[in-house]
Amino acid sequence: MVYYLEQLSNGLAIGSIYALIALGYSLVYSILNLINFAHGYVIMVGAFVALQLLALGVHPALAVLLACCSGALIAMLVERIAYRPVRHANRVIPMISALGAGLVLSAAAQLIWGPEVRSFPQLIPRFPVEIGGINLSSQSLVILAISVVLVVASSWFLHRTRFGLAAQCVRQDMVAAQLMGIPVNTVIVAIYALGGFLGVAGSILFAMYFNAVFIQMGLLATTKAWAAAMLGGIGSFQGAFWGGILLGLAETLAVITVGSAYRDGVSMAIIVGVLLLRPAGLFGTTIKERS
Amino acid sequence: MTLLSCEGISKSFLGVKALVDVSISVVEGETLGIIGPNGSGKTTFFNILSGLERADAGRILLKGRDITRTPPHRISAQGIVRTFQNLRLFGGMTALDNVICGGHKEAPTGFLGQIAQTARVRRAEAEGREHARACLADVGLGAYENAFTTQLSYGQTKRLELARALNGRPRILLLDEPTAGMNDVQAGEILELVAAMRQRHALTLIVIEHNVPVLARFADRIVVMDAGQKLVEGLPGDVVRDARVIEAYLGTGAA
Amino acid sequence: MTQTLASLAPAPRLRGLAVLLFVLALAVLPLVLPGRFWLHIVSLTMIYTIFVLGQNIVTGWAGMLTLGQAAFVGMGAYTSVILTMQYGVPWPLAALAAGAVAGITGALLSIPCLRVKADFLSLVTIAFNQIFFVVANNWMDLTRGPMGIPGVPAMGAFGWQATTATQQFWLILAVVILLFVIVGRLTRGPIGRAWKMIRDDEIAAGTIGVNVTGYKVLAFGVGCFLCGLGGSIYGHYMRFISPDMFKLEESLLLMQMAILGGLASMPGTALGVFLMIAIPEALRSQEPWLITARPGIAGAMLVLLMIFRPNGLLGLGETPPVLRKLRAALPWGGAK
Repeated sequence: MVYYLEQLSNGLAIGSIYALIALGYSLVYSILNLINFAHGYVIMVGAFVALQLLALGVHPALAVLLACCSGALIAMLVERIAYRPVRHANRVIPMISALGAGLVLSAAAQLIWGPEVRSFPQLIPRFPVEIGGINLSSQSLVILAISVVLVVASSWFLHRTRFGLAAQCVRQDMVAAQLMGIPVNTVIVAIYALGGFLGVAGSILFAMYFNAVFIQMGLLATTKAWAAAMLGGIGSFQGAFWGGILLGLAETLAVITVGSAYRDGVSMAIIVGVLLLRPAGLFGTTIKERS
Repeated sequence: MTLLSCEGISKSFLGVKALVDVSISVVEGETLGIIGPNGSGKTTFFNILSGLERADAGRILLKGRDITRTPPHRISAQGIVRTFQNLRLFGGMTALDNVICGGHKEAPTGFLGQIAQTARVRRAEAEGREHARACLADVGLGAYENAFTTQLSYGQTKRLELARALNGRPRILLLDEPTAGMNDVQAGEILELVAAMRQRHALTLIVIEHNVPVLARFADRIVVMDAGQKLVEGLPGDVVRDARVIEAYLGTGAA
Repeated sequence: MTQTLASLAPAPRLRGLAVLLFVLALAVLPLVLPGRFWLHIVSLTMIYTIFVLGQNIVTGWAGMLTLGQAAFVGMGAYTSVILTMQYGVPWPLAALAAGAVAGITGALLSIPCLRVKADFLSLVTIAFNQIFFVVANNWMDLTRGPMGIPGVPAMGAFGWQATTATQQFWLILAVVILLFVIVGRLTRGPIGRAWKMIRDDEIAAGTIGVNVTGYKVLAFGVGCFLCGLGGSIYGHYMRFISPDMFKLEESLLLMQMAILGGLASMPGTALGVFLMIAIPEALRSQEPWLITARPGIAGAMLVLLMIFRPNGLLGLGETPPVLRKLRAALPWGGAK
């Protein structure tokens, strides 16, 4: 029993990381109906930037913050170069150009940092924390705390500010929003930036949790984030968060029951399974093609 | 005899009532005009007729057969063909290919036959092409076979869509604002063209129009819709003089 | 204007002559090429053409983004290799079975996602590719896992085997020609038109009488069949298969080749493979970085293509007014 509770905290921690990454996908999808395939690659580059800054001796807190900002910046560049010119083209086209931009990032990262898996410094001191006879890891607790703070802050930003209101308008009707004088382009860029910022925060925590940074984590994160988003309902802020938590718990359960080789299979099975059985996501409402 | 009858069609989107208990029927060979202000449910009615939307209540009978829950391609196969208010042409194809596509139902789509290119398949392909050419010529676009849709003028694209619909061998043709965005002269030309086609192909027509005077000369009967309901139905001459119609169009007091 | 457009395309007879000359030139290649290395590159390019043709049917003709075609290639390769090696099935039958297994799996996989939203097909195919990799890597009894299966028999039938590089080359060439003829016939007729209609406007396609879901599933089935069949040839040509050969990265390359060369274009398919397989492979020893940079270079080209020429280098459709779009794409221009 105690063992399961300890694992539960790990599951929550990793789940909250997935939630941070999923938010970037979900935000863009909710507003633009676009699967932003570049997102996974952007946050992979962000993790490498953090690693590079740390290697240069930058203070850890500053390095992490700068890396998150670099993520926001790259996401904005992707939006400007690969997305905005094709915003009104056939739906497949922005997806392809986003993927193209992602592959550029991937190849660039591989040429700069090499294809090997790198270890990531443990910025959070690791020590057991005993609460009521249960040994929890300090790392899991800190990760969970950071994620929750970031998610709550973004939720406030998106739901309680003027910007959030503008974003809601753009989401519902881009043309009308433009006519009403809402700076649509600015809102979209900001959404990309927010997604990039949160995503890199997630990918740095991911790198710390698994002690690894590698090129393929971009695509891996993509699968996991989408599994999370699908569990929670695509395009919904809360959905992405709870889906991430649920995915983390499911993965942890899979690891302790069938073994760690199957950790990554969980998210893929969820994507296929959710679409087969409940296409709208566990908590989502029906999504239909607009006619 | 009654060809198509819609009984008590209702449809709402997220609580907004687009259609409320609408019953409309047409007899063979008739031209029915539908007029009404924007948002009165005309296009929703077409969408339900062509199977793109599903009615919440009511049923649609085509020659007595229930087609309420039939998917679009089967409805099309039964002879109900439509055009769109905002044009839905295939941008990646030439004008002739667009019209050839309209004849999809007639083409042999057997997989192995296509691979083997049997004599029957070749003949059908050649005939399909000729029929499409004829339709394109009928609407006056014979010289534009190889033009892409982006190279045609707005009026030409309207005609192209009409040609595509005609190549679908319709029994009932649904025209959603065929003269939208045209001046009276152009609108008159289009409706003249439609009237000629009606004659030649023995079409039953349902036409959504804003241009009431033009429609009044062209339709056998007119239905006026407002706020999702059928307001008035009758002969063109009576309808345009109806006080309720004038009110719906021009507002209270204008009568 | 239409006159000039029509005059741009070569007359059908002339085009047929050009294709014939090209095929003849290919056929005599083994007699003139200096060494096995070059023959191998051309053979590999032709095999990839089959994969990309499969990708192009789904993405180019029917307009659906699939990102997991390598899994279907792998599925075909494993099916064929296991059938020939463990059950003694003759290669031509095994190759057809490989195509059928991949095609049917693909069609079944596509049904649920197409009912919801075609966008999700790309996600499901990514996930499927990863699942395929995990299974191929861990199902030791069947696949020998990461060690792969060596000693795969060469292609052949009725007691004859294509053992020399030249024989293999001609066999592959014959299969590729056959497949190009078949795909050409399919895509020029009503089936190909139905796919294009769906790509351009699903709603209009439906009201014209096209069974949209049916044709999408058909496109996916045919595309995956080609990939599976190609996978069989690939496995028996390389004489070795392992899960690494069918990773997600490989799928992304296939997607890039299809789009780069030209969506819904058969010469474009060949061009895309030439650019992304023949050139980097030929330069592999002199310029090894090219293989690493390949997805990135192609990625950058994809972004540019999507902006300026969304149908690919040789794709159909008119050329957009490049200058206006260029201005819109520059940082100081505005999105239109």
